[in-house]
Amino acid sequence: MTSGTGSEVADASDTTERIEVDPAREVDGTLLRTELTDAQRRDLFEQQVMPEVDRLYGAAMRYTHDPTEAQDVVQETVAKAFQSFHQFQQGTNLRAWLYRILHTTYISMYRKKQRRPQEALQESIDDFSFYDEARTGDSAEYEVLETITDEQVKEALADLPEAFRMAVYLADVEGFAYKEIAEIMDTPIGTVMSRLHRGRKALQKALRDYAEDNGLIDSPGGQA
Amino acid sequence: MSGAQTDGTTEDAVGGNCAEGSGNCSEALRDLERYLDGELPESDLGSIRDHLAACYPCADRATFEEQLRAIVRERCVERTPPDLHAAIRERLDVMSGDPGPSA
Repeated sequence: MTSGTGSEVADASDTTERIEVDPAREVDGTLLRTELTDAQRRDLFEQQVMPEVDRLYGAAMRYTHDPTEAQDVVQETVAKAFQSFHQFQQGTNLRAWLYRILHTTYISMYRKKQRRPQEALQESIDDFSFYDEARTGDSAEYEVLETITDEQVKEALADLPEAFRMAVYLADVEGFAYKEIAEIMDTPIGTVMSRLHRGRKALQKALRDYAEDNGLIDSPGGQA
Repeated sequence: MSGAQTDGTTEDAVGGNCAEGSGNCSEALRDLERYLDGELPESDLGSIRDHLAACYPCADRATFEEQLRAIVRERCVERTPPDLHAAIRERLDVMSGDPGPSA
C-alpha cells in the first residue's frame, strides 16, 4: 500500500489487453457475452466500470453523508454490476445503468432501515428567487456565489428531502438528462421535473442563507 | 419607486413584456430551466435564444442560474478514500474465483 492509488489504476489499465467490442456483435448481446471468457469479461469490466468508481463514490456520499456507508454502497454497487455485467448491453448507457444500480443498492441497504417518511418541501419555496435577493446587496451577484464554500454546498444539499436531493444531484452534478434520472430513480419524467424545480429552489434558499452568514448578502428587511 | 418609464430595467422586464418587443419575459422564464438543462424541444429553442439575446434582465438571470449550477457542481467534489479501488478489486477477484489482473 505504499504506492499511490492513482498510479495503480493507471498501471492496471496499461497492462490489461484492451478488449475490443466487435460492433457487429453488439446487436445481439447474448452472442457477445457467450463469446467472452470470464477473464475477458473481467478485463472489460475493469476498463469500463472501474473508471466510474470515483464518481460513484461522490454520489454515494450525497446519498449517505457518511464515508464508511458510502464506501459500502459503492462496493456493493460494483459487485452487483459485475454480477449482472453479462446483462448489460454494450453500446447502451453504461453510466445510467450503474447509477440505477447505485440507487437501488442504497435504498435496499439504508433507506429501509431509516423508515423515514418521504419529506416534502414548503409550498412557498416556489416563489423564492436567489437571483432577485442577490441583486439587492452591494456585491455583484457572482461574488455572492463565490463566497459559498464546499461544505456549505454539501450541507445545503444534505438538508434537502432525499428525493429532491437525488434529482438535483443527478442533474446538476452528474449531468444526467431528465429521462435518465427518471430511469435511475424509477419515477415518471414529470415527477423528475417537479422535484428538480422545487429542489433547486430549496437549495438556492439554503445557499442564500449561507451567503447571508458569509456577510455578502443583506438579511431580509435588514438593509441600512 | 415605479420603474415604468425607465427603459429596460429589471423591474419593467420581469414578468412583463420587454421594451425591445423581442418576446415575453414570463414565457422565457417559464422555459429557462428546461433550456439550461438542455431539455427544451428544438422547436422552442429559437424563441428563447432570441429573447435572451435581446433582453438583458432575462439574460442576466440565465447567467446567474448557470453560475449557480457551476458552483454546486464544483463544490461537490469528493476525495475517494485511497483503499476503495483496491478493496473493490479484491472483491471482484473473489467473485471471479481468479487472482485477477492486478494480483
